[in-house]
Amino acid sequence: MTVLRLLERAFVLLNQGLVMLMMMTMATLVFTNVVTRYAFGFSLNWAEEMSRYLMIWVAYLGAGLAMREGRHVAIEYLQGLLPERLAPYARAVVALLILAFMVTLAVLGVQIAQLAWRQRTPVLGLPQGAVYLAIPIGAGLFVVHFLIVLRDYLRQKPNAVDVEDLVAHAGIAEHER
Amino acid sequence: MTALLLSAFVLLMAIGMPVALVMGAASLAALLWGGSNLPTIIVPQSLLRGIDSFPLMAVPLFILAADLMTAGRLTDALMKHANLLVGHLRGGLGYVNVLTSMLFAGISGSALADAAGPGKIVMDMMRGAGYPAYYAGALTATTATIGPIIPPSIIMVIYAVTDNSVTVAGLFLAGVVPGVLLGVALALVNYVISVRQGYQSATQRPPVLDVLRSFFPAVPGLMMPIIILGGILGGIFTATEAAAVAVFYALIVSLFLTRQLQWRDVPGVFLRSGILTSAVLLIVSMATVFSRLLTVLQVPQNLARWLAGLTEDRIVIMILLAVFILLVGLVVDTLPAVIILVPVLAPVAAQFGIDPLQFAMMLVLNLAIGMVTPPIGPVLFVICTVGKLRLERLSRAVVPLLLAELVVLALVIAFPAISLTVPGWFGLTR
Repeated sequence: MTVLRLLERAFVLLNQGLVMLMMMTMATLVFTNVVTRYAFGFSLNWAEEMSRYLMIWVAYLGAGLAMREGRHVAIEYLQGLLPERLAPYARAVVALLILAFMVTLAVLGVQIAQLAWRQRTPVLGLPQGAVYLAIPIGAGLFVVHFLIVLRDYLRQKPNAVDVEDLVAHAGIAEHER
Repeated sequence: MTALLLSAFVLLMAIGMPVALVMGAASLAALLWGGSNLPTIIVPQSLLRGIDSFPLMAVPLFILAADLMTAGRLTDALMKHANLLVGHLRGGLGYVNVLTSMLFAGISGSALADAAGPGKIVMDMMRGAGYPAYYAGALTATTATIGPIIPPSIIMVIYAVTDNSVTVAGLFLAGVVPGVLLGVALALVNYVISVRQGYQSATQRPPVLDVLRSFFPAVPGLMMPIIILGGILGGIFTATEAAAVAVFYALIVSLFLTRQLQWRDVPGVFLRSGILTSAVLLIVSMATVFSRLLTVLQVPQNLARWLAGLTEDRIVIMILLAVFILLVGLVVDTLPAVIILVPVLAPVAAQFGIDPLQFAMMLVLNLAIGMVTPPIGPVLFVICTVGKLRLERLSRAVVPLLLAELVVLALVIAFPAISLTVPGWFGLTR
């Protein structure tokens, strides 16, 4: 049990670390380009392309973390109208659909990454397929995160949104709560 | 295929699948079982194309800048100043509510999140000061939705990425007058209701010196929109670059000037913004697939043809479009609605000679109104949940505020000048 817990912790930390570093690098690249253009009269072409790809990777690598924290807004009003006994079953159906979609997405993502592997990106000359890899890897991570928190997801009370979490994420300072 | 796409969308949304995934899943279902010969590979292709954009990067950077402002307490200082400035008036906290939403709302891109987060704080402040819970709830619900109109807003950035006939700068400027009108309209309703119901002011009138003293800590926060808008309009940088400058400005001010942000907290802020970015961009990405299918299926053309058969009058067309957008806004959050509706409706509007900037204002304002229209506006549910209120009573309390918003909407529809004058000064209209 504890080994599993440790593994889960490491998995989450690794995912979080990647998203954080990519966000930092992206912001720094764009800012650096503004500075070099005004201070030294040139800008780095590759920085623009690189930051764009980092944004795509943040979008997909963060998807699982966002699910885990209930950041994906869903309209769960109708679920809330169900008798309390039935709600977990309704959520199980939704969970199955989510998993089916994300697994399909991972497969399609691998296919397009293979198709586009030989194309090169304009400035950096990276394989275009490597950019596409964000989709299957992100979808895969999403599935793992979702399976880990599945039990909580099924038990959760349906709400318009997960309120506590939105409050935590709206960037509200602790002392105000 | 169109029928399958739309019914899958409605069904998946209704059973409570996350909105982002609904749009991807409905598109995939339509491709698999819709009986067309379009390959499913266009799903991942469109997913990537939808977010492979440098202008779109303004979105994560604005999110980051806002998060840093909050972490560095720049936002706090602004709120305190607003409170000292108008808090002592009759219905003062109502004005604070309107003012703070004009300043900060719309950063998350989700009216739902704005209502649950910053909205809840102002609502609690109002209730703590003795305002009736339902009035506080209704005002908060309404103000939570006005952010997207007022620059700088990430909804406008995404709008500009979706519709090539407008620019971010143009949209930001077009939003100035409608945004101020909205603020004034809501403040007026707040005034009338406060006088009628005899709401007392929360605090004594503070000494002028205190008001002045609270101004200086608020300056770094107030500089933010100036840097962003000034930079973009002065042609110094693009919206994305302005957002990056805003990030580093907020970082440096919070670390070294106000010293409210510690180095060890910085990674957490970046991570939090990264996750919010992911949630927002996933919607953009998935909605791109959905709207691409709508375009391939010629939904805009069919809609335009159908409308042209009904009438030729521009105002009537605007009103028909407005009603349709309002209906969509009743169930779909602002951001996905923009990405789905703009590619479908903007060409239609252009065909009837409606200016793209005016149409944009009408669309965003309309979606905002849809979010709080009883009995099913999604923001009302959020406010009921966070405020432990009853929907029926909140629905009644929201009516006067809603009417004020509808008046502003009518003005925006009737007078193109409201949207077009300010961008015209900068040569940003056609």
